[in-house]
Amino acid sequence: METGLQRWKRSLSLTNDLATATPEQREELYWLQRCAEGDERAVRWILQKYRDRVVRLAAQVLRSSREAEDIAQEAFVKAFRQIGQFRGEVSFYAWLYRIVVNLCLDRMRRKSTKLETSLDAEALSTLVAPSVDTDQRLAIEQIINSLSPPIRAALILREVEGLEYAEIAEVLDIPVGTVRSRLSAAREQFRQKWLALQEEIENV
Amino acid sequence: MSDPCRRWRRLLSLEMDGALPFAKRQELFAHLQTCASCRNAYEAYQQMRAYLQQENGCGVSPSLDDRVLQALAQPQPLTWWEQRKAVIVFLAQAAAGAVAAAAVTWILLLSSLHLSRPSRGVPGDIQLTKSHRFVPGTLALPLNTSSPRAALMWHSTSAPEVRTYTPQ
Repeated sequence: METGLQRWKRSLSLTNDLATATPEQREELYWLQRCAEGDERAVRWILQKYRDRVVRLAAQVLRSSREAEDIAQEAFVKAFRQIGQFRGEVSFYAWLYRIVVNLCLDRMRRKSTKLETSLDAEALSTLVAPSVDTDQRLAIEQIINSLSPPIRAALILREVEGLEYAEIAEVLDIPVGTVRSRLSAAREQFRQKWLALQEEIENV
Repeated sequence: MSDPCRRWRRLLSLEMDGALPFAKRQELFAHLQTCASCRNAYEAYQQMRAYLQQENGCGVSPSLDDRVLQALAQPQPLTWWEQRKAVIVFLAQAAAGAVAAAAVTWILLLSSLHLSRPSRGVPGDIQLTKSHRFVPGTLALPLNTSSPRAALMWHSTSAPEVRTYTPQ
């Protein structure tokens, strides 16, 4: 029976211009092509390079570390199976992140109810720095959870992944102007809710 | 009521992303010196950034790689179009099978009808004149019987007629 890895080999055709690629990009392309040839070592190389970032991104967008690994697994399987559709027009991580974000948004849309109001305890313990005040941390977390998923996705890609506007636009498949306005909206919403919470705390 | 600092907060957001031109930055910093509300906004943005940028390795399970590889080794589930295509192919094959079965049945029926008809004879056979059909080349005798003896007696006295067509 034909496996996913064998199917890649059949379908892959990368069109990256190797002349302009950096050594790191060349190495990545080499492993991507090996992936398409069904090389398990190459799959492990890609997984090792991206799994932490993918899981972290999914956890931040979903605000749930329990589901983050499921999404990461789904995203990697989808990416490796559809590697033939990757033409190298955008960087591999932008292409992979797009898959992750779309899967997260799909899952949240399917749930269609309010997102889990907080990260589970396990994730919280890893997300939290011991130096930050617990009340403040919880307040910030609540505010971030209350942002709409598309706005939050843009914010996470900027603040956590450190992507530039153009890269966020590629990942979310939206114009750069929309990225700018989403980030501005995210910060404005955060500011308003933050101020409201501060006032509440002062009044108690 | 319009918020006079809204514009400054938009610039502040760009500044957070390092996307503000130098001249605008100077303007913004000058404004921040005088505006407590915008300084609070800046502080809120910094708090949010600090929270989000904290070391947040989510403790990825070491089995994730193996699970991905196992999932890849599984046959790929059919897509929506592939499922539809499978149904269409099945229906087409069923229709083709039904047509073929009908054709075979028709042929068998026709051949069984053909077998039940009396033999028309082959060239060289002796057939009666009354016989309703003649095969060209057979010997047609004006007799009421097809017995060989009668045929021989008739032959000794008369010339046989060889028909090359079937009379209507």
